[in-house]
Amino acid sequence: MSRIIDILFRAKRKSTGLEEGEKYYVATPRQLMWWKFRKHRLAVVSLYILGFMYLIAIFAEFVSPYNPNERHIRHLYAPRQKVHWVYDGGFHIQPAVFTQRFEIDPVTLRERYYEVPEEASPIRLFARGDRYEMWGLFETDLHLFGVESGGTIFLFGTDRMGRDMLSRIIAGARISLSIGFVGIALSFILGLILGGISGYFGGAADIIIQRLIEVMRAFPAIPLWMGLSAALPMTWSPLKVYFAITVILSLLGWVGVARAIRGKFLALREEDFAVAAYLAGASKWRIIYKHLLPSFMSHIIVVLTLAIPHMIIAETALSYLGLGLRPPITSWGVLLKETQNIQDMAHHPWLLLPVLFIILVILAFNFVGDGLRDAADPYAT
Amino acid sequence: MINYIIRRIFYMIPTLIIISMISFTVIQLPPGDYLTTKIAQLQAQDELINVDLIEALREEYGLDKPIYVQYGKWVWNILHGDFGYSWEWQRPVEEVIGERILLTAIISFSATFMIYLVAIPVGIFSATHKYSVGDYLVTFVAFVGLALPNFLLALLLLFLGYALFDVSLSGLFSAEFANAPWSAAKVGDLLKHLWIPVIVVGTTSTAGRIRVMRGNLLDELNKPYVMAARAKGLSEVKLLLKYPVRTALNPLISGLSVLLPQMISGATITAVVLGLPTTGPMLLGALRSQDVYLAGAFILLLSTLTVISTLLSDILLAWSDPRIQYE
Amino acid sequence: MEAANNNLLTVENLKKHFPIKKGLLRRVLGHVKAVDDVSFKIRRGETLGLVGESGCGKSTIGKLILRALKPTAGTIMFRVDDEEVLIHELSDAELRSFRRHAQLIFQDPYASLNPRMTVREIIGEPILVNRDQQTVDLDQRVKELMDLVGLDSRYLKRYPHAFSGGQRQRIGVARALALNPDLIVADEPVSALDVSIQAQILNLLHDIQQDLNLTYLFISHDLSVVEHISDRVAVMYVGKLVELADNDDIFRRPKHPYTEALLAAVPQISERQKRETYTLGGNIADPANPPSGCYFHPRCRYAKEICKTQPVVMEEVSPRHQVACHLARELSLKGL
Ligand SMILES: Nc1ncnc2c1ncn2[C@@H]1O[C@H](COP(=O)(O)OP(=O)(O)OP(=O)(O)O)[C@@H](O)[C@H]1O
Ligand SMILES: [Mg+2]
Repeated sequence: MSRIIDILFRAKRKSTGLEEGEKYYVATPRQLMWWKFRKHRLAVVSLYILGFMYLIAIFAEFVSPYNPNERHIRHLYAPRQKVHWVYDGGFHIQPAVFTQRFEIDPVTLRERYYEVPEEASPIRLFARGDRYEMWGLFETDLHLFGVESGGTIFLFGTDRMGRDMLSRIIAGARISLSIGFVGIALSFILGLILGGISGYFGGAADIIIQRLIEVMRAFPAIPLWMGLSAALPMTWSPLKVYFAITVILSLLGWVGVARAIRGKFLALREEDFAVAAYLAGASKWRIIYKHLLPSFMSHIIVVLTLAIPHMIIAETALSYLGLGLRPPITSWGVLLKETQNIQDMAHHPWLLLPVLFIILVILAFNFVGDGLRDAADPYAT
Repeated sequence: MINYIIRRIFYMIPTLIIISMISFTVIQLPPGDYLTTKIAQLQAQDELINVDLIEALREEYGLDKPIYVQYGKWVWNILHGDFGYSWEWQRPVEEVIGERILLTAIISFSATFMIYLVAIPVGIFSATHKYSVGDYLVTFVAFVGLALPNFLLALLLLFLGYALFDVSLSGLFSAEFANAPWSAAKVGDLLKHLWIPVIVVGTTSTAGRIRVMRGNLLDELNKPYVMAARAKGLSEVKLLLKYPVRTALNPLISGLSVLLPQMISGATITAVVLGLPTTGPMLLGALRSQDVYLAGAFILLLSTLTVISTLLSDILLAWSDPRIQYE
Repeated sequence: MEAANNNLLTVENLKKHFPIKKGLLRRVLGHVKAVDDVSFKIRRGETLGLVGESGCGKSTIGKLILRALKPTAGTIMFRVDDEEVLIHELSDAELRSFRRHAQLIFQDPYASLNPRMTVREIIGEPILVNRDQQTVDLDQRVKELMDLVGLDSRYLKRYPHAFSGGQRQRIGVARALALNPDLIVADEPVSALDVSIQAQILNLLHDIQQDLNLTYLFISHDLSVVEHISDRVAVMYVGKLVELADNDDIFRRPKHPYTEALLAAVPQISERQKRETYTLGGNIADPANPPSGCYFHPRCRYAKEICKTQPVVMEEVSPRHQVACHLARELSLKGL
């Protein structure tokens, strides 16, 4: 057990034979970091998972079998359709889904779906389906996979309006995953400017910004988020709301970033090698971009990576409370909001699938951040 | 020490003033106000409107005055114990929120208590059993616990409770006590329900503290004085409790100043998920319906609670760690 | 007059007081008198050793001379081509063109090399940023410097992590030499190294001094290292110089009780007669709040009443031997 966890979670930093060679001696910082990162296997796996998720989010319309807002009124609350390889009396390389039928259970009086193995629809790659516009560039009806018209493929079931959960989760991925990035980019810019001013100029600017940071930290974040989001006019377009929410998230997010930047900046400024450059006659600008920024970036990337999941969580929470994004925007938080009722969830557990994805992404970001943190200073012994 | 406390309290004042301004601005941000919305609603339903009453209210709260006048009135009234009027509940704000604030404080403080109660021994165990199966398990669970947001945990717990045992884990009271006046039986009922929210609210921070405790203690155990004491044949438990654990605890105590505010703020969403009769759901409702004085009072009180708990933990730290100078 | 021309560096009444700031408004509550009224001269081509316990202000003096810090008061004069440059009042621009004349060797060979730059970039940086008159062949010059300090010039493209502590310190020396400086301030250049490596670096410093006619301010808390390399030695205690004399005078005929105490702590391999072992008691005084009279009196075993009340000043008690002690003429102290 402990060995397994050891292998997965934090591989021992054994010295590899590599360290002996010239290859190691002339390795750039980036190479060293990558080598070190690679040893954190869970982080590497997480990186691949995140890459996969973002890829899906980018090609959302193509990957999802249906239009996420399309209502299949004959398939309300349909459970997940299973993928079968054995059908039509034999094994097939090409898997299929069975048609779902609906009946009312005579005892509980609840709706019940059952599969009809005699009616198998093989799953086709590059199938034709709902029309959509890809990235606003061109229109097509090509989907990564699907079934012949007549059959249905609800791999993750449908919601109370008969919308395909898989397609909705994929559409939500685009919003939820991007909001983390956009929010963190804004936080970073704000934090960099304010933290940089604070750290570099010091004096009155530093004192004022430090005070501001202190006040912001004393402020309970979530009530403030709620208050600001509640203030967004209902009449705003979905896109406007999306950007407003990212701005609200980064309004508080910058505080942590600015603190990290300022602290790191102050520490680095005092480093011997920066002093050496100064004594050699290097200009301020050269010291900043040649000596401070490179050491600094790897640490800041760690801070940012670990901040992204917080942004995603915050968006999810706000949308779940009905204060964040609103339909027709589909985010994972919006999907959760649609199932606020616990009974609803208990009877249709597939509605909880977005939670699984949120957790997966959050954990993956944390593992990647953990791995980056180890790798950020490849020279530490 | 007394000087230090007084000065710290003095420093709190500008922070509180800024916080009150931000709070007020935030709640005033939405266009229109409650009365206008309400009048429109009533008119749409062809209901009779008591124009005089509305005008009187408008007058009293200066709704037609510029925002800084409204702010001034608001602060002035609060300083006299009047938090304004809740349009939604049709009662003075302070009557509506008292119990909710109390319950929020109870949950936050219990959660803080639980965090330390769990994190310290588990952290000690983990550090003293470094690289054992138990340690790896603790480390892993702590990592996951730290990453998971509390409200999702609440959601999952509710779901599991309902799906597996068909019980509802939400709420703080059984149905028969929900609206009953306070009594010994009600307190008992509260204690029976308290553990779910406390666990949910405390998980993330417990995980964090376990990691901190483990790391600190490991650092401490590597120091020469521990080796020396061990060489002298001091019993392992005595040795541990004498200095290393105490020193390792200091960062945890200083972490309290971040922790309490987190508890209070973090409990907001969790409370909505769990349907607790605390500040969270009511704040949400007030924000939605633009019940400004109610929302404002909540934001202000939560912030004040945050600032005060920061102060308390700083004082605690100054008292526990003589290295910190008050000067 | 002639003697004056021979002085590369003249420091007079140099002071550096760090304000102690506290609280929200950064009120100044007092000053750390890190360097307090220090005067000395260094002749061209000689090595002045600067010794004293940790925190007494040695590094601060070094940083002041290089203007990594701005003096609170006092003058620092540096002779460049028969002209005195007043270092203490150089503007930022003048300072950058002055940098080529004085360079620093750091104590920590790990912290002082940017891990993200190759050896070529590190040693070449001073040349690169000062390249104003004619373009030099950077690679060629860096290789020369590497040869000079005993590094294989094939390692040009390696990063610092490829080198051992001693080799890293050689890189640091090469960087300091890159601009052909006159003065090198070496701030504890060997104290972070293994004892076996220390001698190598000291020999290197000695050799290049001969070859390049360098002048050293050699800072150390280790008297045996200082004895090895210095022509003259200055002993420092809590921001002030307490004794300044030729190497031999300091080590054989110390005149200050503090010097004697420091010498007593030096381990001797070949001890003819058993020395009276005597260790320095007490702690170094707080430079923010020094004792009255002679700062050393609380720890001095010869202290008399006068030492507690009367401040001391440096006086020449014998030719080229300055001491700051009320009892300097009465005491006969033991050297090595
Ligand atoms: N930037 C600064 N701000 C405030 N005080 C400082 C600063 N730099 C040095 N000091 C103080 O000045 C005094 C002298 O420091 P300095 O570094 O010169 O000592 P040192 O003799 O080089 O000691 P060491 O042997 O430890 O290197 C110390 O008390 C130190 O705390
Ligand atoms: Mg020093």
